[in-house]
Amino acid sequence: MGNALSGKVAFVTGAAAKRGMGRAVALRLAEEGADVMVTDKFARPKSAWAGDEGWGGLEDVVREIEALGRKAASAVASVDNLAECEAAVRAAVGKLGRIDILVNCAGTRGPVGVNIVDGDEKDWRMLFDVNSIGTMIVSKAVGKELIRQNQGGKIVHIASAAGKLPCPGSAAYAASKWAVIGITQALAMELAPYKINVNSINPGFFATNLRDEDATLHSREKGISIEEFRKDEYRMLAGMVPLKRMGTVEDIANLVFFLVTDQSDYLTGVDVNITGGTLMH
Amino acid sequence: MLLENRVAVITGGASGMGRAMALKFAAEGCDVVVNDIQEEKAAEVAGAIRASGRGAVAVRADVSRGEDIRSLVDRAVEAFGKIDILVTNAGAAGGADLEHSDEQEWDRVMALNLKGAFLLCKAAVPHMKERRYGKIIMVSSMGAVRPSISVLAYHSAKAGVLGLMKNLAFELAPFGIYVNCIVPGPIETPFWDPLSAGMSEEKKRAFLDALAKKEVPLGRIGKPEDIAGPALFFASELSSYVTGQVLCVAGGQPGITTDMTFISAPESRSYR
Repeated sequence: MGNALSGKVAFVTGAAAKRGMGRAVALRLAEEGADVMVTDKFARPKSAWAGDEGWGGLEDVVREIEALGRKAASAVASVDNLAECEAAVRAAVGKLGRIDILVNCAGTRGPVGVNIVDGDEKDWRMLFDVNSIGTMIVSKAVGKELIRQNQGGKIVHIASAAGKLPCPGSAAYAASKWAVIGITQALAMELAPYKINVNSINPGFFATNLRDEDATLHSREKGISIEEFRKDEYRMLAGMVPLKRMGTVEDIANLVFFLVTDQSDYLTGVDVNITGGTLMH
Repeated sequence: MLLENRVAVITGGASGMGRAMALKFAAEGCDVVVNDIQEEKAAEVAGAIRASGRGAVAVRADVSRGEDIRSLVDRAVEAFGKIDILVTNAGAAGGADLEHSDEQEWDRVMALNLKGAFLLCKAAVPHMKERRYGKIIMVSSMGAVRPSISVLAYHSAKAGVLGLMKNLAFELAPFGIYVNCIVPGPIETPFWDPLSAGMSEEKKRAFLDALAKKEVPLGRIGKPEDIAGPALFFASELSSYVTGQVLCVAGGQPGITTDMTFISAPESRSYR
């Protein structure tokens, strides 16, 4: 347990999924001394992993943070809904006193294996709404509070390696994540005068609940169990990674922790690849 | 304590960024080999680290010479038994625009800044492979990413460092050895002294502050300590899934500054 973030309050979106990056980040920041507001579109998202049936979502994460001795608050808010995000910001300030850090882990994957020429524009609009416009909305809601407080701040957006590598079959996801990188760069310049650092990260292959929908669908198509599908997928993806493994949510928490402490005060407007060496540009 | 029981070799560790990294790593539990050609200053840094309770030795070596590098690495292993972290920070600018560049200086600058990094890795990596663990941190330059002045030899060497870093990251990942690179922005170190030569301390401060406000989105010149934090990230478990990565620690450069002098100046009207 550390105290690098003593006295700080973090606002973490997309935090309700059991296997997700948001929950891992929220718990790590709490371990390092921060009080944490956790938000998610779903209070209790289901997990397709065996044994996760009893998962309590946001409420469980709040309990876990409090068990670490930190204060916690939660709100059901979708990042693409400004009113919900503004209410969550007010709730965070009301219950926890202030906001210093925003980590935006909210995101959705959309269809996998659907080429552009076969695509449905409804899926495209949905992905841009959540991944891109959601990034803008949550930056606006929290950013305004950081500016008002006038004490600096740290913002981290989770983009994706898919934003910078060709993604046939997931072009909408890729494009929506490229947008997150673009938003981050502009936001960093806009908020620099307020001493607010803004950076994004690009995760490569990670086994989180984001893969559940695809795993469920394609394991059924192949007539194998979801666990078998995941094992096959792991073997294939890990083989493509120089570090020879998929990433873990702890890896994400390690990088995000660095980006929200004073150790990265001179770093802003950058995107950091966290891919085990798969993406180097 | 992010570097408990680790051993780091830091070239150019006598002053500036190298010194800041040496002190930061030691504060996080690391023993340090402080290499530099400035022997007295290197000894001072090593002394300060020992006084704080960690192990440190100062070793003189010219990183443009293979024999010097091999004996530096031997000395490190002799003193501390292993090498976990290697920071190839030693370097010096040189060269000019095309018209004023010459072959001799090109070779000299390449030997110091690019070949030196390669030779250091060649000597140190076998020790890292033995333990299937290594964290190599290279230092490049903004001139390799976004030149604002043409310094061909130095900027080309520093661009070469990026290629060296990525290839080594790819090659050594299966052995548990991570290779990453820092691109420093405007960091106030003795490296920049020629820029403010002849100025009083007051004038120098005013000059650097004005430059920063114009050129750096975060509005200030960097301190060596600003580099030490990102170096610690690369040296520690925090970079557990990050390799082959460049971090531009530059206060927001190469992004557009808030001043945006070119875009707002009358001269650029015809471009808008």
